[in-house]
Amino acid sequence: MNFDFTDEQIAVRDMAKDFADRKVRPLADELDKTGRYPQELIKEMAELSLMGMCVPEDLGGAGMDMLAYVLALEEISTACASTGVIMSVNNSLVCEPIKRFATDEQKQKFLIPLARGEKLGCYALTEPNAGTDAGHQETKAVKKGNNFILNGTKQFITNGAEADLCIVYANTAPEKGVKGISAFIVDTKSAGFKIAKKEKKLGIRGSSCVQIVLDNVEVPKDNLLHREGEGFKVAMSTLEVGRIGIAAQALGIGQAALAASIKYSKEREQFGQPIANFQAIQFMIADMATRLDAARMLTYKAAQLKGTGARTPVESSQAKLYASEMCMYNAWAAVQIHGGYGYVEDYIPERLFRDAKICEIYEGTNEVQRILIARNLIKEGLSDL
Amino acid sequence: MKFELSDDQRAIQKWAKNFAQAVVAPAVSKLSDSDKLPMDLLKKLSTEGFMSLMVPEAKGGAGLDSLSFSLVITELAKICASTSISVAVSNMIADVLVREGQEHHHDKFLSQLLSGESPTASFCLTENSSGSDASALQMTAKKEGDHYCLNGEKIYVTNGAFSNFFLVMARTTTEVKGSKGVSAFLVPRASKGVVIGKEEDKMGLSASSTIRMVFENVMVPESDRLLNDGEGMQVALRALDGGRISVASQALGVARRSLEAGIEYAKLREQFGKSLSEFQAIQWKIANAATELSAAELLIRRAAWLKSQQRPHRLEASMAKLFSTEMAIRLCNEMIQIHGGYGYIKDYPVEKYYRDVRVTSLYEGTSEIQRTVIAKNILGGL
Repeated sequence: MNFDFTDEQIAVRDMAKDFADRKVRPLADELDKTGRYPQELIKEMAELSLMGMCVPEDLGGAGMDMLAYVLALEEISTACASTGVIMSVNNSLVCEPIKRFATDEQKQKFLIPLARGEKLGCYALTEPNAGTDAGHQETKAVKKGNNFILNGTKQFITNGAEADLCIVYANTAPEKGVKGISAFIVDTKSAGFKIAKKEKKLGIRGSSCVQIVLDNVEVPKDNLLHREGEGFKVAMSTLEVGRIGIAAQALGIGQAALAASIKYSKEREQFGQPIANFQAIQFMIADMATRLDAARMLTYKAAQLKGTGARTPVESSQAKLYASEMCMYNAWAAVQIHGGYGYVEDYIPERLFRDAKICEIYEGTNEVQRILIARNLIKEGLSDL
Repeated sequence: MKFELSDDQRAIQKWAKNFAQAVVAPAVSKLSDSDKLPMDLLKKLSTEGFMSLMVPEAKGGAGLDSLSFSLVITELAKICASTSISVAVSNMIADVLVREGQEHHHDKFLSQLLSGESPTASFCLTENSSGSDASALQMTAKKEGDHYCLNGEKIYVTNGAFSNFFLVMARTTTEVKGSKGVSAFLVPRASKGVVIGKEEDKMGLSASSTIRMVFENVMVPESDRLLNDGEGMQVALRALDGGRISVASQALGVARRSLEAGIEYAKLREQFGKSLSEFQAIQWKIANAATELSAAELLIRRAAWLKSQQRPHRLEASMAKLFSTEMAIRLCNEMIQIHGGYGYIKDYPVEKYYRDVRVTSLYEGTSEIQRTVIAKNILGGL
């Protein structure tokens, strides 16, 4: 066992923290209020190699291990959860599956610009009628000559308004159900690729979330990602990485809530003394810190394992489940510690509370995480302590 | 970061697991709620090295690191929580003797733990009026020539029925209030004036011994005081830092067994024509339990690893203890819920797991004390 980070991991974390402190945090409030996409931040993050962190250097990435990525994402999300999710989607949901499943030609064509941050990616699995039941894909892809013709609607697509490339899941053999699903790399400038609606959200307002309508979109068959009919495998394996990304985002929100609470409780005086002197406040802070560290351990362990190329069905789900509930608790406690000030926009907890909620929902609701964990344990048994 | 155990640690874990299954399990399986751990089991544990796990090999111990020690406690707790606490407390005293004691303390006391002459050792800190506020203890030790004369009462002395000697905290001066007036003494059971009081009738851990003690003019030679006069609370607090990892490891072991029992039962039991394990309500309990158990395991390992490296670990040990014990209590409660009515009767083990594990958020520093330690660490000088 060894709980120390490598020198490289520490260097990456410190670099991300420095950037987050100087550039991201000062913009977080404005991004939340205006819902504007932080173009300038993403450009600078690309220059710092934060957009394709685990992609090998010869494919345009930073060649980092997954734990280094988690540490960087945690720091960015501590400053701004919206910026965090933009980074998470590009790294976890777009670069990772292309890195793992694409042909060399596809990697040259698509992965290099994505990893360099010259292009932005999005990931289109969810549909209006296929949320938790993601295998129930209604989008269809019909082969026609050298192309597939895609028709359908995709829902809640993060980065959808700005993305250049989109990984789209569609059914190439509807009669086969889940085994008919295939994954495609789609240029968002293709004819018939339409942004039908931009959602207005409770939180993470600086990242876009759109409905996409695919109206006879022609996709070259060279853009098929992995084999026909094996799209659902791609999706599930990708979500294992995606869940680690969301866990890291949740760590960032949880850390921001703790930091705000420590600062405020030492400054705020009631009954003639700082409220940090009161056990009621101390105990909330102790619980926040303990849960945050528990979530960190689960997330770092999942990242470490995933980085070795192993499947992490239980570890990724446990990290995502626990970290997201921790961040919801920490955001709740931060609002509570701030009292009335926690409920107004002038103080950070109000935003954190809204941002935190999504972590319990996306990349598989926590209900799905629990089902995945339980099914696996009931079938495979508990792993050794 | 690296989350795998080393080959040595795996081997130690296996050694403890085998011993727990082959020796401890048969010895405790027929105990009733009024029986205590058999002395010959404790002696066997002692001579096999379980009571001196982290004592250096040069001094006759097993020379384990803190992480391996934690693994052993967890393996014992999976089979018998009472045995695990008996072992944990004895090791705590063994470590105190190595850390704070001199050669003659090793010869006189540590040797007894190694040989089985005193199969366990005990710590006398808590009193009727001083629990969490440990340094408010009132027991006195009055200097008389080259001896101290000890007077007072102690409660909740774990291993009290089994131990041949006790580590006793007493106040050497009433001039100084609080921790600075406290000194640590080693007191043989056979000393004149040591009165062994009643066994407490507890909710759980019934096979472990928890007694009251009275000290009436007990004469202790100055040479059996550890460190200097007035440095007793330092001895106690250092001991408790390690004790927190032990209790967390104990809670982890009991919780693990309870979860195994819960999963097993959920698979076998059918209601409404299908296995309980197919109902989401039950799946959720299992998922929550397994997730929190994994987190607890990692927090314990981190604290134990830091301790192994002789790095600061007070905050991490408190977090591990707080999180693991509260997790374990919740988990054991939920596994009873999965069992329904059967969980409430003694034919199924989950009833005992719940009673045994309940104490873990109370002893070696209540959860409230852990939260205070954590908050003070984070908030700085308050």
